[in-house]
Amino acid sequence: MMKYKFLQALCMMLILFCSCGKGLITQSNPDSVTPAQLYTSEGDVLLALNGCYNLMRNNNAMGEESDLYTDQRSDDTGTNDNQSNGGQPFQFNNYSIDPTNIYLEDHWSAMYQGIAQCNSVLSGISQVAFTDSLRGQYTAEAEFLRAMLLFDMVREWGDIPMATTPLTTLGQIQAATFRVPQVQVYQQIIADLVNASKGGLPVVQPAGNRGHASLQAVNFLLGQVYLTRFATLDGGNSGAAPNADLDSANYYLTACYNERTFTSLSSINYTDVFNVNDKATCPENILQIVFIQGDINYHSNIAADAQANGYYTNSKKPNSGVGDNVTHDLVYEYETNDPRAAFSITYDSNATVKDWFISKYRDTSAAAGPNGYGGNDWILMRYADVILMLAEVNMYQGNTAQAIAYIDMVRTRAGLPTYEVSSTTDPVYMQKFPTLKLAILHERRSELAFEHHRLFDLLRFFNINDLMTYMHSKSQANFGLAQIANFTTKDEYFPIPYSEYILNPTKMPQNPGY
Amino acid sequence: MTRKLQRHFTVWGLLLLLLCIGQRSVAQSIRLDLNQTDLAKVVAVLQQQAPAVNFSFSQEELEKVRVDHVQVKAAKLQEALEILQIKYGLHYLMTDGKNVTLKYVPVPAPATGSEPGSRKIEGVIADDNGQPVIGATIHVKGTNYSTVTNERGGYSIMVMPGTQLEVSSIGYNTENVTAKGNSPLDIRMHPGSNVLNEVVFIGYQRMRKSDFTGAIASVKADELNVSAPTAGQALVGKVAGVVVSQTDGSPYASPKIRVRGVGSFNAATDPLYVIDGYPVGNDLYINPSDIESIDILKDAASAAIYGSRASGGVVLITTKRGKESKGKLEYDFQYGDDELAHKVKLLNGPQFAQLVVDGRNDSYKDLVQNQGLVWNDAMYSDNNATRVARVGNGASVSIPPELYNFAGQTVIKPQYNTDWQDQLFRQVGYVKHNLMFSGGTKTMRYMLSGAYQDQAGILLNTSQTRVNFRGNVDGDINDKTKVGASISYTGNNNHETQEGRWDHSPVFGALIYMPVFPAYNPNGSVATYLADAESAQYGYQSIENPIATAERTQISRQGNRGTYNAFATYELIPHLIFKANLGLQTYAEKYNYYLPSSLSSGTNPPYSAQAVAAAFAQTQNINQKDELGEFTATYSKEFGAHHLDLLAGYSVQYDNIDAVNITVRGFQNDLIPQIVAGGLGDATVNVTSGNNQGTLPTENITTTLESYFGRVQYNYAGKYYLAGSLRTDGSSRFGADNKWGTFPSVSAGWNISKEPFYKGWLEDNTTLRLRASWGLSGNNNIGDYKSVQVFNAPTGTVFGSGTSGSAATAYQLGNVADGRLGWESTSQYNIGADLGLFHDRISLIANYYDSRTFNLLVNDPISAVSGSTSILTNLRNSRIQNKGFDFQVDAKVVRTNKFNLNIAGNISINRNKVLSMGSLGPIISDGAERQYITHITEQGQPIGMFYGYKVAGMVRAKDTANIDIDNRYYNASTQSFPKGYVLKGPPRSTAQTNPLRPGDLYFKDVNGDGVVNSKDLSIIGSPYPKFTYGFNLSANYGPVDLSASFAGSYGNQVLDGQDYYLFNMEGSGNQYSVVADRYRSESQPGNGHVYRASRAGTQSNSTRLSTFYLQDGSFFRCTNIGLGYNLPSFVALHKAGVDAIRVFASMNNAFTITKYKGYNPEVDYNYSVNGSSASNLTPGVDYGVYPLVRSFDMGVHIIF
Repeated sequence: MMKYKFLQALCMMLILFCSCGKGLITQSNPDSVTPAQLYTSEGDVLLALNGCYNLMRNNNAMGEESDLYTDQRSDDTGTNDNQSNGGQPFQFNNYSIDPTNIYLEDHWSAMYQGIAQCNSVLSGISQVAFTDSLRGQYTAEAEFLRAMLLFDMVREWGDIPMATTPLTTLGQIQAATFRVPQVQVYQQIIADLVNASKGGLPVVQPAGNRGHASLQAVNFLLGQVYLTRFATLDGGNSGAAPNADLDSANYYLTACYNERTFTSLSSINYTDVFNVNDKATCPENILQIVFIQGDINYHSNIAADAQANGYYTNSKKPNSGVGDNVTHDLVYEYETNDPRAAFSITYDSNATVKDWFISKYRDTSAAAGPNGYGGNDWILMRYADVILMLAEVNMYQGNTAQAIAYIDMVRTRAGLPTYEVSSTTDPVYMQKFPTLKLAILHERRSELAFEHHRLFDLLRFFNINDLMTYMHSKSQANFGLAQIANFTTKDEYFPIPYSEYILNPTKMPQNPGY
Repeated sequence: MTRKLQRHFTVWGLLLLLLCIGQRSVAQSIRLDLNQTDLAKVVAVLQQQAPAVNFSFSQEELEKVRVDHVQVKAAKLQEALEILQIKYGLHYLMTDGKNVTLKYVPVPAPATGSEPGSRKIEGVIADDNGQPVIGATIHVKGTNYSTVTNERGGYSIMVMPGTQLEVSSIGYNTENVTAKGNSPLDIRMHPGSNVLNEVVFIGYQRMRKSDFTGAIASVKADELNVSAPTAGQALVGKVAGVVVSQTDGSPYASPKIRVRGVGSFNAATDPLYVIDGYPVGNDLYINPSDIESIDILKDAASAAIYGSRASGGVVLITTKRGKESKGKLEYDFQYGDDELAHKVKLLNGPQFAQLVVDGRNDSYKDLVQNQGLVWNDAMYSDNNATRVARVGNGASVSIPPELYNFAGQTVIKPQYNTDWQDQLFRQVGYVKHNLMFSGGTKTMRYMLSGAYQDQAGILLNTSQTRVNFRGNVDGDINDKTKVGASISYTGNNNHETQEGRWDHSPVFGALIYMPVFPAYNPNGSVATYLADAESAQYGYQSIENPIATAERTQISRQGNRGTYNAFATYELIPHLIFKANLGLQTYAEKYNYYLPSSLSSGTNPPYSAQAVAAAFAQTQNINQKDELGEFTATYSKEFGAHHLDLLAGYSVQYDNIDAVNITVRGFQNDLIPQIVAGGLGDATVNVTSGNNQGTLPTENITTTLESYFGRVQYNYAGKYYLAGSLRTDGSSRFGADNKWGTFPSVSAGWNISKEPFYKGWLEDNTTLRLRASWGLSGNNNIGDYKSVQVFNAPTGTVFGSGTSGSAATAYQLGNVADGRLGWESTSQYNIGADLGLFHDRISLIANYYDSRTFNLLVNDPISAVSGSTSILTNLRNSRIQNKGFDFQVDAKVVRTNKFNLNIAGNISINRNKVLSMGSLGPIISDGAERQYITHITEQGQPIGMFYGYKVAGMVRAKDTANIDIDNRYYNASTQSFPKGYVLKGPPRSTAQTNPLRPGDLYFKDVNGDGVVNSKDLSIIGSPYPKFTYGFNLSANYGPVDLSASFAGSYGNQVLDGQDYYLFNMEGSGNQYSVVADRYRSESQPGNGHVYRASRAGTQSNSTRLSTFYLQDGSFFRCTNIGLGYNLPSFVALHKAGVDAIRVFASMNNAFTITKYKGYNPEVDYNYSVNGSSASNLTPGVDYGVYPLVRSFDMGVHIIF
């Protein structure tokens, strides 16, 4: 009898136990979605595509304040602060960058985050029923962004790990942890861009859609990629005949040029390109990162942050520091009376500064206000750049007259004498820029200063030994605390971040010199 | 004499006065006259007549003893107890005037047959102090004949010569004596230690400590420091193998408890807290007066019964429950006086001014020389504009004109000399009221308690008020069915401060804010925007007045925690008991933060547009609900000498946290410091996604755990013990492919002293037991939903729209996730010995353990090509070892009726080592400042060793010639010397553009390449002590008792993260006073350790960790010292219904002996609160944390 009761109770308890067990220990996050859940409709794919743009505009990637990885690394800007954050930002303009530098690591991972997001979107698009026109456009945009990010990376690091599909398991990730030769990376970039050019993107994005990739932008980038591959991988290594790359560069840059919506560059004032009120309509701009004036979350900081103590010409927001410091080497590069100098840089005579700061970006509107909620767009691509690249291509192709004609478009618009005049009558110009090539480089520096092109220009115009000579020819006195003598052949590339190198020292070898 | 001292003398004086009022202990006349009753009822009546006395006994046991008639008349309780012991076998043990343990020992049956011999032996049995032992049983071995001692301890017995007599009495060790025939035979009995006979909780069951074969530490209520405001603080220094660190002195913080070292890289290793059987989050604010005992399961074998949550150890807290007695009301009142325990020695105003001037002058000279210009000392007179024009770096070379006479090159005595610590910290009062009402009948017992505590913080604008309520009810429905319930409520209302970096932590701010600025304006208002206004120009840190930061930043937190627990047990067949336990805990928290516009924002003044824009309010609501269902069956049976205990159980726990955290900007003024007053436009309202300041991001998290567990315990004749347990946990936290984990344990014990051979081997008066165990426990502290890759919370990007732009929703992929994510497991061996000496007057418990944690949960670095830089996974082939030794000794040095002295001590030694990191490379972490590398975790070393440069010496003028020679060979572009070059001078550091100069420290060139760079980084110190220890003295002499507790740590180092600012010789903020002893010139070289002043950086600057910034963290602290007095009973008080009064005074954190320069060497700053680098990897860091408090408390305990 007793045993019976015992068994009954036991059974009852077992029933009780088992009734609550099923599914109890499987819980999913009510606050988030998985890729499989998101990629179900066109609209949701667009939200993920927007994520690609957002990652690209990150300041650790290609945003308005990513100058640490570009301009500070060149001879244009820098910092004299060798103490902040363990002196790590200073390593960039001091050419003493260490593989363990955390900013370098942040840049590397931010770029890859963008690329991985593009991979995810491209894979997601294939899972969703789409109208074909949108499928083509979205694909083109994701491929364009992936190519743009890869292009910066291959120029900064050389051979890099590369994936074009989402990596979701540890095994897949480990299998992809090796440095792909530059040649292949370039092939992928070109394949992406060529495909993107066929995706049905609008030639020019309308004002209401600024910030999205356009056919203009794809052609711009294709031209730039071919030109860079020609200049840095010297034909033989690239797998393509040198002339073929130059021809392709010329072809796409010309196509881009022909897609402009203005007649001549002179019809656009230089200062209007940066005018915060004209940013959506200025026809010179091809691709920009858009900001919202006066918005607490989506404003631009570039104008306010660059401004130095005591000045309110960039922004109504006061800055007690030295702002974005300009090297004296750049100050002395400007031709006398180049109005772009007066616009782009300003000398702060304040007792605590007594130095130059960047004044190219300005928003002193009431809407931006004393908190510096600027509305400036960050311009990634514009026609002066296209024109100067056309000058460069034509110079390489031997079309000197054509090249000079392109330079002069920029010089004339700026209000300077033509190349012909300056290179024959201006003794300083003649002495400083004795060749057409140096004149083009000079023109790019003056025109495109602080637009994050200078480092790539230097690496494209010179091979690394010549670049070292060029840098060492500069006066240390123009560089403040940073030691220009530290520039060596190692500086052709960034070091592979130590955290990546250590994952697989054989397949992820360090760049030479680090 | 200062006012403060006077107050302390008053407190102690009052106490002494009270001590002199009376001399005699509680007297009580007892009358018992009961018929047809049992001993339990007798005790119940006794309790009514002696309400001040706490009787401990087994209700079950005494109920079984039927008595026909009981009649006792006695003037004193003790007399009555003696009569009960002799006549009815109710043996007693009186530990002090108010605690009596009762146990029934059958009165020997009248001699059957004749006495076993013809020789008459008589004598007196007495204890160590010569006091007669009344009612002791003398048993003639080999017969069934026994007798007991009379009121004078005397006995008389007829035996054969050579017969063995066994003398026993509760509370004493059993004595074996040979009756050789000589009479009188007086026998001395020794009080038995009861440490090993305590009942301990072991998870789902309770048992005698001596029957338990794992490693457990237990602390009873009377060992806890009653004046401590939190339960954790009451535990400091009390237990071996458990480090209880007072790392934060704020009124709302509780010490950190760590059991046997750190066994994880990324997962938290806090212990699991189980309160009255309910495994819930850490209820920091449980009323310490409610606690009956705290048992800590230290070894994995003991903890394994809690499975996946137990690898950090398990802390079992048991609260007091009612006993059968008349209602007893107790009231405690406590008043405390709190002050800063230790003031940091800093530079005063004139010394600081000198440093500012020196720092800028030295920098100016450095920069002039770095440019290749010729320096002459007349340039010290250059005005600021000339300096900047010549070398730039305005902030590093400009001197505030009010501090420097440029022409005369002399320092001007500053107008103010403010001691910011005196301004920020205050002396505050502390009040606690505690009421407890308990009692019960045979079938219904209750305990109700309520407490109110109001504790202001010593830091301005910090406090906690707390309300506790608890009700514990137990009832017997019938012989088989028992039920019980526990309900408790904890409500706290905190005013908090921010800790950490100086830009928001007033604690840190007060250390580095410049003493040359005034605290208040002439009109009495707080003087703001002084350092900030000058920071850019003169290179000060842009700190706001810490008084303003503390007073104007509003941070409040209200927590309401309710715990409801009900259980029922049913004895189905004898010894088989089923138990169902249902629990519910709810927690609601409201957190408010407001940063006002009345504080400077960076370098902008209060109320400026920027300060208004920076103002924001954050509010957080947490709603948490935890539900527990637990079903167990226990079976306990003896078969002859075999004893068997079985446990089987099933439990399911569901926990949901719903947190809403909103940040609002757009305030126009500070009138309403709440989110409602902000939000001009929608864009200023944000869902907070990060967690900081102890808040959660907006999230809704459900965690579920389903478990099956069982335990078998067997012993043979109390000699051989064997136990095993098994738990299987299924958790929602882990990957779909890896949800279930199994955690077994086995243990064994051997009571050697019960072996026959033992007697001849070791002396009779010792006991010895050996234990060994192995177990596996788990760690699941990694957060939820980490095994599936998802998109992060949607964010926005911008595209053109008209002339402006508009935001578009953007989804970004979150971290790559591992679908096989599973448990982190700790396998631990423990061997232990329990030794009783001198009849258990001294007991020793020793444990040695060796644990290996594997399948470590880590953020494993992966190539960013995946889109993530790490993946949370179980690292294959990884192992962390913690091995060590803990040792506890309790000695009853003196034990008499009048005077008792106990000494207890413990020492813990733990050695941590990363045995294998699997595929993981060394982890380098920053534990204090941004990008300031401080720690490394690598194979073969403990987790998180200090990592930096070794200071090799100080450069002096005589070295400059050698440095010049070295310079000629130095290649600046490759930052190297020619191969084979042997340095003449000290090695230079490549990270600094400033060359070595006299007064700089230089670092050791570890790899001998002539330069100091990241290749010369090495392990430079350890945050882990060689050992930690604690000891307690407690004594009572009659009604007076005294206790003192001490705790300490030896051999560890502390990284004073504040040094980055507080010991950098920049003059950018105030410095330790030792900076006055810095190198100034060859004629004034200082103490030879502190490098020269410079605002522009030196080769030895603070931005790199070197041995210069490590300090000895050893300390010895008197954590508590207290004096109590039980007042003699007054007739008047009895009339007023008062049974007993006790008064006490105590001091917490009375003194600390340490070389540490900062507030408190006991540190555990967690730089990265949001878990990206768990504090496990960066131990031993001090950084802007609330300093410890010294409190003087006095109180009264009244029993009605």
